[in-house]
Amino acid sequence: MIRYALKRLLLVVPTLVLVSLFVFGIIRAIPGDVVDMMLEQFQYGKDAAELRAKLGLDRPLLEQYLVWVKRLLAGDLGQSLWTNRPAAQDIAARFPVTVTLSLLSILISLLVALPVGILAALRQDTAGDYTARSFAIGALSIPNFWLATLIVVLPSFYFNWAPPIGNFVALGQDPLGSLAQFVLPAICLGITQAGVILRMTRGMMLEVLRQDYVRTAWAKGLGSRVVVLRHALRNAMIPIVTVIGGQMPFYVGGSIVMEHIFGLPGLGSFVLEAISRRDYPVIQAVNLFVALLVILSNLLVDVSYGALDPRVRQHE
Amino acid sequence: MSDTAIRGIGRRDFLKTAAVGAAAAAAIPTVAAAQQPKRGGVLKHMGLEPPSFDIHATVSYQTQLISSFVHRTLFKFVNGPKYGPSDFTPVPDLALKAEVSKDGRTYTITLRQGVRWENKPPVNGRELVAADVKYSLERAVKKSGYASLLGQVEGVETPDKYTVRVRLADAFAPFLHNLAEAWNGILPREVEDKLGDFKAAESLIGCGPFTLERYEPGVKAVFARNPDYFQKGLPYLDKVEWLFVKDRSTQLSLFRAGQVDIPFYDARIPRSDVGSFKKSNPTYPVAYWDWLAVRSLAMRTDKPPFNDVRVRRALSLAIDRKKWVKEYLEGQGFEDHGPVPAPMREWKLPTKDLGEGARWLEYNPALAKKLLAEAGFPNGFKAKCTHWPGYGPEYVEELELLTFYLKQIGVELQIVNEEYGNYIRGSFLGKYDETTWGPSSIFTEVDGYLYNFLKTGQPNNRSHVSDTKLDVMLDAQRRYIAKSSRKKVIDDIQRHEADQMYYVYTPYPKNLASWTPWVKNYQPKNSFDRGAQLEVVWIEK
Repeated sequence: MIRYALKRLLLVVPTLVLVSLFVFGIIRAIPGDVVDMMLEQFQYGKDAAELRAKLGLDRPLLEQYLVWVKRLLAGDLGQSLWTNRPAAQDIAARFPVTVTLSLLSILISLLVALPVGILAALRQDTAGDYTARSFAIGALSIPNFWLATLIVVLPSFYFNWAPPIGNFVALGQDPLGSLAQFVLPAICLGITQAGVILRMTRGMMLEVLRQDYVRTAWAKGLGSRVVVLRHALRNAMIPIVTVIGGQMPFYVGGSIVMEHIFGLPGLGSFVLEAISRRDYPVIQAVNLFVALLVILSNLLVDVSYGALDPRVRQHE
Repeated sequence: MSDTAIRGIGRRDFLKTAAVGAAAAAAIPTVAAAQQPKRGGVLKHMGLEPPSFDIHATVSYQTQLISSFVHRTLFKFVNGPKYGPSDFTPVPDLALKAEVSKDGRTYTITLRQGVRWENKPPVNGRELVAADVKYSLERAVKKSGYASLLGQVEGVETPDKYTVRVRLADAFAPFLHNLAEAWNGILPREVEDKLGDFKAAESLIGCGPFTLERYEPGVKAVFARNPDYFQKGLPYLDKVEWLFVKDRSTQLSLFRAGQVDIPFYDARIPRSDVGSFKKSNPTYPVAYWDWLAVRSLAMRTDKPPFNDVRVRRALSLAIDRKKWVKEYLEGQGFEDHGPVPAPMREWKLPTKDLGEGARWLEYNPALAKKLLAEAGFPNGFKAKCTHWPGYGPEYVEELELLTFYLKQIGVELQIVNEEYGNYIRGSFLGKYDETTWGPSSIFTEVDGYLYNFLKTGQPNNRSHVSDTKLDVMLDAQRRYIAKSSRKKVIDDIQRHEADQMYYVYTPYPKNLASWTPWVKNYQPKNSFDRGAQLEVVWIEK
């Protein structure tokens, strides 16, 4: 298993190189140059060449890329062209917000999807099953930004009440107060994924519950908790874990919208702002960081296969 | 342009303005006293997060808004409900008075004594002196994107600790007025020496009504009352929380719920929400106020078909401005023919006084078609029109209305929605192929709407106007310090623009604003000096 994990870790390196090349190139392919934008903000049309040189943007692209990579290897993620603040400093400040939102969303997805999915499978074609399936389709169909807007707007209209937004408290300052701010956006973000996971759980459980070894377990007189949770669910989990792992980019992407609506100072809103200002070092740093997270989360998923299924461990 | 005009009337007019200003300044505490202001309380204000905190390094209004809590200017505009949103009467702030020489080229500004910077490093509460003003003015001239709005500054001298003398290459009427703009805040040199620039929030050290208590990127900036503020007794508020919530629905919901006191950076609420808003919050004041962002269709007047004045006039004749205001804007807007915004009443020339040009502002589609036919377009034509839809749904609807009217005469506007970055560095600065539509920037001085949009070669001259006669008038209005003489030139500019129709101005609505009922002495203001606006506000719960 360790060798397997190491092998996967080694594969991270070429992936990151490709990602870095892609991120570096794509942001420069977007119409609108940061120098033009800064000159529009600073001094109309003056000293474009000087500003370009000052920012190091006058050098060949390959050279710029190599300088960036060299600094990356030295642990320097670069600094914002607009604020001069180190990108690492802003990422460090905003990452906990995005990660808390994402983890809470995943938790909510699982808390809803796993029990309901299992019950729906156990009571196939009953009213409960139909209700669960309808819920799953509904959760998939309702856009989360729309749900979030309704959650914010409707109570204020009917009850002059709104969720606590705009006075963000960090987790370290007031853990409970901070978590309270994440509950509603996490529900909005998690509910869509709950639909996906619920359907997957139900489908996989139905398939596993029909397997011979499950029938044998029932025949042996094992308790339903042992049969369902230990024998059936554990075997059904691999595809479910794969789905959850594969949804990491969704959680990070979805957090952009949720952070916007609920006024959370996370990475999503930060990178959106950076893109609109063509703040190359910040965009590159955040994208690389997120790419690394996604790669690591996929690695974690791969490693968890071994924990869930002894056959994987044996094969490795 | 005669110097006599500048000498004779200019001096009297300036002294008159200064006197009015001084009286108005004195009136602020009186008004407040009559309403028994209360000290204390925290005002929660929806705000915007600036790209930088350096007022000279960016033309961003977000920067001006946030820095005005801390930085003060030599003059400021009157504030409070007694004055209109577009009343830009300048009153002394860091300055006590200013005198202009007979030739209109030298301004001698006397500073208020005893003004102290915040009591924190690197300024440690030292007195603000003439050298600070010299440093700030020279920095603005060198670095600010607005530098041209100070005229051609030849030199800044400091004859003594409390006197600043500014020499201009030529008389420049808007000079004193523009000193009251938030981008002309006075900065302490030590901060730049220590931090290298004013980009970071830590550089927000000043002598204004508030001091920056804390800045949380992406969340808010909190300003606390400056105990050493030179205007004794002000501000009334203990704190202002400037919140960076970006989503408009969320902003309004928090406002409805009473979680914030001011729903937008200028207290605006969308017209479409007013009905439901009055139901959910019947005790909240709702006020119409004049807005200075004129809307116009800019055209490439340097190439066909828009280099033909008949085509431009035809486009204007196709628009039923009266119906637009009456039906679409429900009477709450301006037919505005530009270039001077209608709320600038002291400068605005009524349509009836526009002479020949007035006829091109009527609604006459038959004449429009005839002019198009004469110009070689009997069947009309198609033209691309760039636009940034992010201004909001109301703007999109207005553009749709314009498109509808133009289609009636055979001109098909093909809307090209642009991403903000592209729009603001492209179309907004005249870089587009055929036409572009959108609101203007806001200026508190009429020159901003004239020189910037009509003078040959100016970056904001989106219609690529190049008209020698107009250029002469535009330069002239800047030199006439005497208001009456200047007004005559500005009247002529308006007549000429109406006749040539370099921009097709479209009607626009008045703004709607609201604030919580416990916020007192508040008045929406068409300037970005939020610090001066809020120093006279108090909370009465």
